[in-house]
Amino acid sequence: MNRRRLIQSLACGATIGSGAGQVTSVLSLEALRNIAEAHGLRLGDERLRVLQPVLERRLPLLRTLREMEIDDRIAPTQGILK
Amino acid sequence: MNASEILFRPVTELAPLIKARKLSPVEVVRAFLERIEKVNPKVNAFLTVTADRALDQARQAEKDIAARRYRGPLHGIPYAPKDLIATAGVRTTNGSKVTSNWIPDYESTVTGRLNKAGAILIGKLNLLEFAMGSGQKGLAGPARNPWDLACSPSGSSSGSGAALAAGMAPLTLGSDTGGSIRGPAKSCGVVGLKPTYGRVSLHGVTALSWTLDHVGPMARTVTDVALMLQAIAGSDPNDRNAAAAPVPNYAKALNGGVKGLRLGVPSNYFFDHVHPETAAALHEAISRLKQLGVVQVEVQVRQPGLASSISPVILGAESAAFHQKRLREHADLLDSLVRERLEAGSFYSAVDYIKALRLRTLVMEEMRRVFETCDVLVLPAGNAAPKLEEEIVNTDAPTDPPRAPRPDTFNLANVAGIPALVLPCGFTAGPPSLPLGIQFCARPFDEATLFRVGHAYQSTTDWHKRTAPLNG
Repeated sequence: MNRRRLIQSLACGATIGSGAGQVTSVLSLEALRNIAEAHGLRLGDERLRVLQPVLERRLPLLRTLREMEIDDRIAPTQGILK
Repeated sequence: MNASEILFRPVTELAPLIKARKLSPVEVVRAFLERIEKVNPKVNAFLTVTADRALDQARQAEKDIAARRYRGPLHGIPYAPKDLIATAGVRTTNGSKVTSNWIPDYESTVTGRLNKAGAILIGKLNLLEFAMGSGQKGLAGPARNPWDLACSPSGSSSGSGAALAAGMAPLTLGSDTGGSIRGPAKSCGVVGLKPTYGRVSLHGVTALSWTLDHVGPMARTVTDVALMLQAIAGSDPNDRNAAAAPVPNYAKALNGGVKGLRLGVPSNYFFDHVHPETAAALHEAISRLKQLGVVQVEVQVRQPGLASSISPVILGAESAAFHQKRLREHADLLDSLVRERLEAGSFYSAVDYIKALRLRTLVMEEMRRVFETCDVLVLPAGNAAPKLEEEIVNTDAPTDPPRAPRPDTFNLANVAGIPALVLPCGFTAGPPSLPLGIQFCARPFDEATLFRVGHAYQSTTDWHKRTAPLNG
């Protein structure tokens, strides 16, 4: 399974809950470890614990980004439009 | 002229005196060095002070001017860059324990150009670590806001804003990836310009996000910011993204007047949830500009929150790529906020990144459409400066109760690459009485129009003439 698939499946499999009015997702350390190992990163528990809450917060944003549909004619731009 | 008279004078007033040899660059440099010695222990804006070197250069400037080798309005004027801008032979820390002893053997293009114009490096300024930290656990602790020392000057160019407000430097340089020049300008009651992407070379500026980073001038007046941009703008063989677009004469543009200029005021999103005190100051500023002859037009920005959704992905992926080795080898030395942001950035996929860049195209096209209906877009620059302890906690984390919704008014200009100018437009009632700011954006490479509007407004107000009490 490639990295994109892994992150997509992770995003789909995440549990959505709401705490104090804010939407969060829940990831397990084990899931993160598997993702990291799948793309060649061996991360210790300490690094995984740093990552876990940040990724949890960002999953809803990533999910929204992935669901956005863009016209096929739109190419990426860096800097400014010429 | 005594030292205290020098400290808060704009460069446009100091320069003619220096040119006419009524004021020596040595007196000017001494005045600022004494001020730094006196107030930096409170404000923590300077990480390094280059006193001996600055005095040597001031003596040389004095000789050159006496020998009729005057270089222009920056000759003999001190300046200080944010400490992620490389200065040859002078420690450049990035505000980080990881690079605390780095002494570059090359000069950034911006400082090189200021030096060539005769400006004098007086020291290097505090910042949030690598322009992305909390400010708490970086190299030297946080800079403090001269308007209230218990408040944040905002970041990441925290020292650049604080040094100006405290009268420790007349000109500073900041960098801006998502508001890092404009936030401190607003919170410290000074002027900050994020130029068009490519207007100013990024050579020698430590990257946070190559495609969102901008380096730009900060000062207490719009005219001084224009003087600085004149010196640092233009193409550069060392930065292939630095544009070859012609650099206009900004001094000439300043007095162009604003009669008939179309001022776009967004009717959606950007003014939502702005604090009533800030909103009142903004509306007062817009009324003032209308009295000067601008024509207010209502504009609607489609998908106004898109820039703030895609910015974290672009910034996250690019910063993780830039810091990959540091993260692997020195993670323990990084501020926990820097570390968690970099770790998370490593997890964005190439597809996510490219999709964000495609959405960026849409943001740029939308801004092109907006600027068909107006010449300048006015936006809030955020509310008054927060307390330091509120700013330095992990700003990414959920809070209980949740933070009030607040439209992002800064990322739009970084994502679209358009120029944006922030200047003071009032103060809170207090106590403490804190500066409020207004933001103007324009078409790519049209900084001249921003200067026209900013200067016209500043000529009728005295917000920029007030001095910070250094209490708190």
